[in-house]
Amino acid sequence: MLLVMLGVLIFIFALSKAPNNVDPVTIILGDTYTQEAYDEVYHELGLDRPILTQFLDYVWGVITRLDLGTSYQTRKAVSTEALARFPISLRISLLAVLISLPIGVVLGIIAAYKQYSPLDYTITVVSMIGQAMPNFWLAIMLIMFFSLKLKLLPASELNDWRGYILPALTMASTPISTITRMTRATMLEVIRQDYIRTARSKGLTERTILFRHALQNACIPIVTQVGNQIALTVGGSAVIENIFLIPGLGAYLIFSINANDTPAVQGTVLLFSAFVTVVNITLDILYGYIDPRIKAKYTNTSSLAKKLAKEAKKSGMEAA
Amino acid sequence: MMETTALDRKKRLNTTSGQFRIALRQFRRNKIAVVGIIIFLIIVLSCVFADKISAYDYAAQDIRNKFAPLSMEHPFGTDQFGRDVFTRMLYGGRISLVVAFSAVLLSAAVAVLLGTTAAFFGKAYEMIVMRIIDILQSIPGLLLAAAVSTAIGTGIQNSIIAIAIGQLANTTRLMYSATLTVKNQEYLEAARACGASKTRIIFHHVIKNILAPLIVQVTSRLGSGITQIASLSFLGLGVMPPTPEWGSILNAGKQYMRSYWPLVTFPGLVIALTLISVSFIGDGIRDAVDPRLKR
Repeated sequence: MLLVMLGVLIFIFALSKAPNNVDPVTIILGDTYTQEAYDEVYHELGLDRPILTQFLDYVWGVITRLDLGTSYQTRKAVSTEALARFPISLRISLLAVLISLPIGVVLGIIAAYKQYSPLDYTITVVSMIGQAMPNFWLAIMLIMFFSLKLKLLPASELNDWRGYILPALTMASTPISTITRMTRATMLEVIRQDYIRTARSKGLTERTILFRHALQNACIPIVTQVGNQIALTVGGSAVIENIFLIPGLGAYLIFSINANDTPAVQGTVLLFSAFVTVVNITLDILYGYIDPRIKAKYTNTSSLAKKLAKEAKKSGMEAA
Repeated sequence: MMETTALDRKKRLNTTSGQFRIALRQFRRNKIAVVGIIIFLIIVLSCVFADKISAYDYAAQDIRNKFAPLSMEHPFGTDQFGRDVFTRMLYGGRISLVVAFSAVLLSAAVAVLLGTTAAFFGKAYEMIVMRIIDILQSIPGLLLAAAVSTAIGTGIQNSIIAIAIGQLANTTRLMYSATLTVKNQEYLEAARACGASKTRIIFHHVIKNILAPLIVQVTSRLGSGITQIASLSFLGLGVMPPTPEWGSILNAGKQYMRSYWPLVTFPGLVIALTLISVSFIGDGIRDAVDPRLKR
């Protein structure tokens, strides 16, 4: 995992050195400057040193001081700017996941229990539509309906809790649909298993069967989906924050990209991928707790089987 | 001699087309998928024949006629410069669809190459390729595409590359795991025993046997490709105005959301309809090609 983060560092550093980038000195100084001023800033940014030294310095700064560099635009540390905005994005993402998890699971269970009924078809088709609907359009429609027409919710202010509703709802649309479909599919598999029949023949109540036997066994794919959805919502935050004018990390990234503020772009991308990595590690640990069989699988099987198991899990991650 | 080979070939053709026919029959039985493909074809064909359908020039300004009420002449209304939105959507669709198609095909081609060879050759090469994929996968797709597009610039070509890179990790991973599952099958051993070269085994045996997940992946990625190019342009990072593109049309309309509703409603509706139909098709293809993948 640390290796992956190092790789991300190399990657974003390489991006910043791409030939298409605007000369950072001109971003700081504007269009008119003297040669002396240019040289001074050039030196100050360390651009006169060899690329390898620049890179090692950058990595060293990130590792030891969590120093992501200085923004060209504001001349402030990127880490403080980014970390100030991160909680806002995080709050919306978590809110979206919190909304979508129960709704998705419940809808999925209903659809699975009533397979091939009109209700099942409706849920399936609606969730397909929800999955395919582009976030930016849904956001605009929600604003037009709830803010402009009904004047119920604010379109862009985050002053109180009401400001979070529309962004979180928009962000939740895809996770709800994905979790619904995932739950339906796994539940369909699970409720046909022998142990469910056994439980039923023991005379257990439907509720015990559902919660103790069926749902627990359907947990793993659902948890995987939740993890993927967190990563996805983080990616989608750029678009949603842009529409709702939320001063979050995604909006900061887009703003920095448009301003050619390379250190800020690097820092934000790094922060995003660090977040995704942490979510994935957490999930890996969670798997072991939810399903002890997974731990066992990793400890005593052939290398190919291990590889396959790992791949099966990873390829389940559908990044949009 | 000639006759037998011709017969052989015919037989072989029959078996492959047989498989294809089964899949097609499965697909046709799926009502949702058929609806999807009809809608999608209508949208694609209208974009292709944009100049036949609409009499307007997508760039022609007519300031006196700005924000025109909906009418037969302007079914989607006109924008702030009096340009016909319907026409702009048709021409914009060309760009969006071409970018999405090319990006998906580009990333699929690279992914097949990387994924199969990584799984097939193993060792250090596999390690390096898959670690690079790990790195790419740890950055959310759209952000990755956005970051790449800052480095290489905007425009149609660069957007294709940016989106392809954004999708690369996922597809490579899938091709890699699919290859792992067929790698130790007996027919590969048989091919090797017959003295087939590694290139031949990969192209002739491995790739043919991982076609099902590949097709499914390509169709499902197509939808996200369209979303991504639209999102990038919406954020001002994809295809730049004045070139019409679905995302940038929507972005331009965003400012007038309060005063003139058709400018965001209809373009968004078209994008949503396209994406929904693509996802219906994708689901139908998945069920038809590989019922085991059915979710």
